[in-house]
Amino acid sequence: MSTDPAVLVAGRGWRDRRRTRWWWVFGLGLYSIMLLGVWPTVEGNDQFSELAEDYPEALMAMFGGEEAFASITSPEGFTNTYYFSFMLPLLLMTFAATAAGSLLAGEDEGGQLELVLSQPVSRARVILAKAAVVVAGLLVLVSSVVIVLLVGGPMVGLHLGVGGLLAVALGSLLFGALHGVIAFAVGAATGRRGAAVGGAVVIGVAGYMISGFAEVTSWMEPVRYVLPMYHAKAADPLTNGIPVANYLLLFGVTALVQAGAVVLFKRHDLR
Amino acid sequence: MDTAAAPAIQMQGLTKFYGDKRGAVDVDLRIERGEVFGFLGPNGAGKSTTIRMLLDFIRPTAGSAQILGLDCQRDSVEAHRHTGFLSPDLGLYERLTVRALLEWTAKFRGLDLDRRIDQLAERLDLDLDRRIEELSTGNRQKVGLVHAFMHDPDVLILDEPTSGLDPLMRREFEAMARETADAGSAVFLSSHVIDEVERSCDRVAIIRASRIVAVEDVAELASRSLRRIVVRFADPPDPAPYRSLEDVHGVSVVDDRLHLQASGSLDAIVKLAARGEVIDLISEPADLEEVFLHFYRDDQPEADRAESGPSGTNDDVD
Repeated sequence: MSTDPAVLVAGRGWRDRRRTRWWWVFGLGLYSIMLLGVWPTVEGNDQFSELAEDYPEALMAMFGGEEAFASITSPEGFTNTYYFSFMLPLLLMTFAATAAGSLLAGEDEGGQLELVLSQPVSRARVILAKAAVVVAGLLVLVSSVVIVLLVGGPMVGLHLGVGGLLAVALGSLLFGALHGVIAFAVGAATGRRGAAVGGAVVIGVAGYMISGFAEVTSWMEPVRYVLPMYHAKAADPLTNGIPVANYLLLFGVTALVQAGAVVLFKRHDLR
Repeated sequence: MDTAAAPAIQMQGLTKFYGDKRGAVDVDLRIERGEVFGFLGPNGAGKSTTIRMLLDFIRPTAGSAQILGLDCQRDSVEAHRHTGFLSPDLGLYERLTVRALLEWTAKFRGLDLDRRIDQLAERLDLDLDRRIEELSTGNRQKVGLVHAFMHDPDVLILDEPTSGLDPLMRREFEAMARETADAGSAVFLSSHVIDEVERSCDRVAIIRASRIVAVEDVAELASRSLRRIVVRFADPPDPAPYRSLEDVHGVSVVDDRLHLQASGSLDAIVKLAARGEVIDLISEPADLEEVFLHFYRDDQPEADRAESGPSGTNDDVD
């Protein structure tokens, strides 16, 4: 009775990241509950819409654009602005990048990768198992937010459709996963945890900033189509459901980068 | 390739450059089953580089290697199935207990090795219920040894297996290596301590400045073994008669002490010394670098010697 080596590697990674993962769930839960507490004072409050008129356009774009701001007093507008157009994608990206960086490049630096790769297991299996750990972690984080919103929301009068919520949550998860695999690729190429995490986070934040400017700068408009953030949220999945083409594109690019990470890892000289 | 007939380990022209720095150059070795094969060289000579290529941790710039006929790169998964490995760089999962870590690694081979782990732990006096993070260097090394030996592999590749072990455990390890070889497996171990290799190995390859400079039977090595002798006399001795002895080098006198290096029998030296009043006599093995300076310096190609200088390790990566 033998267990597939991929399952052993994934199980190890899943347990090693357990403590960190709980802290993330705890933090995200706290953030969610805090915002739910704010909702009753925002709901139907005209002052917020007026406030939006005075906001600089560029700043507004960062928080989901003019439209989102104008509708901040609606359940969808509020949820988009404070969760899915900004905070959640960036947090999930950071989570995925640090997890991926630690699991691959971190273990390369620490020597655990030597222990694993001296077993009869292929490098492709090892890195794919580790990628699965990151995606599963993202799933736990996203689910915890969705559950808090679905259970806690109605208590404070914030009613959201389940379908829309799942759709937008999937977008954030894809955004996080993409940057996780970027961290795997950089880690597989360099063997350095700092470079892997830093590289992925810089790419994520830069992409996010550029997508904000692209919203408000007409000549940059074409640029936004190459930015992951646009595909994760532009179609307002919370209101309109899954934007199939956008998500497929995100998924495709993620799979492609992961395939690249496998190739890089196979060629990598351990440190 | 038939794994039953192939040599345990074979390397052909195995070479690794890091940029223009030499890690290992043109290593040709063949290690048979049933032998303990030493890989001797000073730190930084290229031992670890060579071993890491065998495990497919790093990729050769040129050349190839096989374990039981299985290509170390292309068939690495299958090769690892037959291999036990230990290195000083091996990272352990700190939060696990020793037992949990070893049982986890055993599962990769689909084997239930609980009893074997208990046996080896008892033999090496290792507490299986301690957490890895609590262990001393010596105990970590023991974890690595159990990990390497527990599945009774056909080929053991051990990088500096005795580092951090006390003398008693070194003997225990030597016994384990011998038993493993007697049972038909091959043990390939690296060391920078000449005595250790003499005690535990059948044959030895000597690497210096990234190149193999000699492959010898250990008996041959012992016959060339260089000893550092210090004789303390009641009165300051005259060094002149010692200088004319055969196989004696580096004779000097400091106060009442005579220092010299000797290869081969000490008989003539002792008899000469006995003419005076000897207060103390120390005979110890010369360190590896001294041995190299005496025996292997001229084996190096001219070009290498010029570029690597007297210590020979300046531009080498290990």
